[in-house]
Amino acid sequence: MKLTRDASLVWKHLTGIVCLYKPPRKSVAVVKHTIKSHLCRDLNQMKVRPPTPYIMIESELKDVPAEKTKSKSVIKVIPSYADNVLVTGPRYVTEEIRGRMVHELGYRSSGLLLLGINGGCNEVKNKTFHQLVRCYQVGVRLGLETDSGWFDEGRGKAKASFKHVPPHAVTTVLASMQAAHTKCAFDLAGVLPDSQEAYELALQGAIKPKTTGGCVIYSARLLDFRLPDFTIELHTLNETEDYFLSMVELLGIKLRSAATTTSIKCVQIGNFGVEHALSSADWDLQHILKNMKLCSKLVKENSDIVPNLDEERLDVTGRNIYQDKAANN
Amino acid sequence: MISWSRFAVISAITRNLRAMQRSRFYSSSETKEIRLVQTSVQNKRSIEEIAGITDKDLENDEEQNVLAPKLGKNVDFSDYGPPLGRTQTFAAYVNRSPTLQKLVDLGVDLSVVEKKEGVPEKLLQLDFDKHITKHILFLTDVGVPAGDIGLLLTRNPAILFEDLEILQQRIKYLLETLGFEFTDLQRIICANPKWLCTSIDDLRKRVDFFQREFKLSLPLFRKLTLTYPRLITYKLHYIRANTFSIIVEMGFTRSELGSMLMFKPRIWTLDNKDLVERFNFLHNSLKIPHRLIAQQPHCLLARVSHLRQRHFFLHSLGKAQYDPALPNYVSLLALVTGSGAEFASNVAGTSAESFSNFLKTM
Repeated sequence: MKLTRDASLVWKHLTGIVCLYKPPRKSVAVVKHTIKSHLCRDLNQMKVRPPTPYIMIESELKDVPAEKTKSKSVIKVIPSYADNVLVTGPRYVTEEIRGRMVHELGYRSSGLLLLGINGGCNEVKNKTFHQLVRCYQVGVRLGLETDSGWFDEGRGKAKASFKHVPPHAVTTVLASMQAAHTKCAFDLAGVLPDSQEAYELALQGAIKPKTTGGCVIYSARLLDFRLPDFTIELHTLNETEDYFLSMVELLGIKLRSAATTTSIKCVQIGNFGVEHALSSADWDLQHILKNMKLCSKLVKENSDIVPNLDEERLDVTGRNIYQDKAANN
Repeated sequence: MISWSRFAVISAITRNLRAMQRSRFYSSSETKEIRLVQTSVQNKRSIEEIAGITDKDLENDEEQNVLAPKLGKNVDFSDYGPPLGRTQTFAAYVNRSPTLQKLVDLGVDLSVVEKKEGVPEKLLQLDFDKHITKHILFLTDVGVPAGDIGLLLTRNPAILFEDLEILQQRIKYLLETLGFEFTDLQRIICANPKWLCTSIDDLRKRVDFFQREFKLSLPLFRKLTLTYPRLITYKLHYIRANTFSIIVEMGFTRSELGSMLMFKPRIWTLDNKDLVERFNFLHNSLKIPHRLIAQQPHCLLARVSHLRQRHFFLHSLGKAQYDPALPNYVSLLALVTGSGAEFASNVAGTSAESFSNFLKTM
């Protein structure tokens, strides 16, 4: 571990993937911008590049009266005003930091976000990153249905009783939902369920959809049940916040009640968990660098993340980060 | 050394025909041709007329033969070069302009100033020693510390374009008509750099507005100004909108509004939607009465997201108690003061790490 005050050295290492915990009621674009502006703020506070030298050739004649005939030039080297931070602006600007999300969370959703920074953007373009199965915990409240889908937002559409709903009813509905999605998974992967291709795909693990179209639920189970609230855990791919809201509404109808969502939290992406994520109190340069290191370790450990073997992914020392995997494959 | 203001450059070149003759873009025959054109064709405008060169400027031109060698004469070559062209930033000019260099030495952030509309063109026409020095002396006379002048000029470079007499009149209005002390001027001008650019008429209207709207005597108006000078030059429509929200939407009494105004006038500069959202959370979700919010209006200056985070953290610890009559009361001021780490240790009695971990459960 090395301690430094040199911003340019830190900038060279500021490349990789960061695992953030997105707070609710903040859009993903705002989160990305916040990270970038915090990084710039911290980098600009460090020792930045001094102004480049500016060579001035001045004539001594300025101060000499016209009668004297000797004309000498003096060469002065001063730090260029044109490169002064007060003239150019801060050395590090948010526009120069590249950022790319692996997947998006809705405005009121919270939870894990994988963000590639600078060089990490290229890593994140990898398709296998997008196909890491995500785990959500969705809080549901029975008794009211709203037009927005959230329990405290929008107009109430319907009210219903919920005391008749036992936990096993919820489990049954979730199981039937899971079964239906398993069938859909084959369609979205572009194979017939009875075919040899389907069998081979199934051998490899979860059947991943080919496009980013329909949501696939791999697993749905009940976590916590305390009427009128209960929490369900879903393992999904290609999900959106709107999908979850409409799914919860449907769940309410199936339970012969009315339901709204209280919370949507992404708690797992592949082998990235909440314990690896940076909370919004720690979105500064030091924590982000630490997190990048942790994330690169997690990426290496994850056998599902297969690099595009035609391209090289080089780390700061110039080594191919997927070298070992490439050798094994 | 010629002062290289942008427009001065173009006129300097055309004025100093000797320099024009020596530069590689013009030959001696061309310049002679121009002169001939001037004498022969009277109704067509020549370059000298367009550039505003008078006979007085041409008097300095002793040389008749351009091709005669200049060696042995005192010639200052140091500033020869192609003329400065158009740019979008000051960085292109700053190495050749003593005015801009001196502004940078003062601490003026030119990268901010160049983005303000209409400012770069006007600033380049000024000379530091002739024009800007007088304004800086005026500001120091009025009480602005030397170290703050750079920041003040960054925020409002338009002060340099105001007539000094008019600025003196505005100071006189503050001291004599409004009754401010001389020591108050520093607070007003440093906290609100745009104050000196408001006309006396506009200021009079604003004084009337604040006195009528909030039933303020002149001493109270002065106290309000010194608490938050930026409020006085703020857009009056937004102030009226926030007053409406506070009385009608939120339901504060006039006396509560008055006490909030004198304590934290900054509330009136908040976005109306944000203000109502913050009050909504405090009053409807946390059930905090109007009386307590009026006593500690700092709570309305904190973002809803921060209020939420801190409240739910205290709630998870069982410490979310905001009633002063009951034990283990947490004041609204304590709820919004300090960074997350300070709040966690001082108010919640835990560590910054536990607050950080709690945020990952929301």
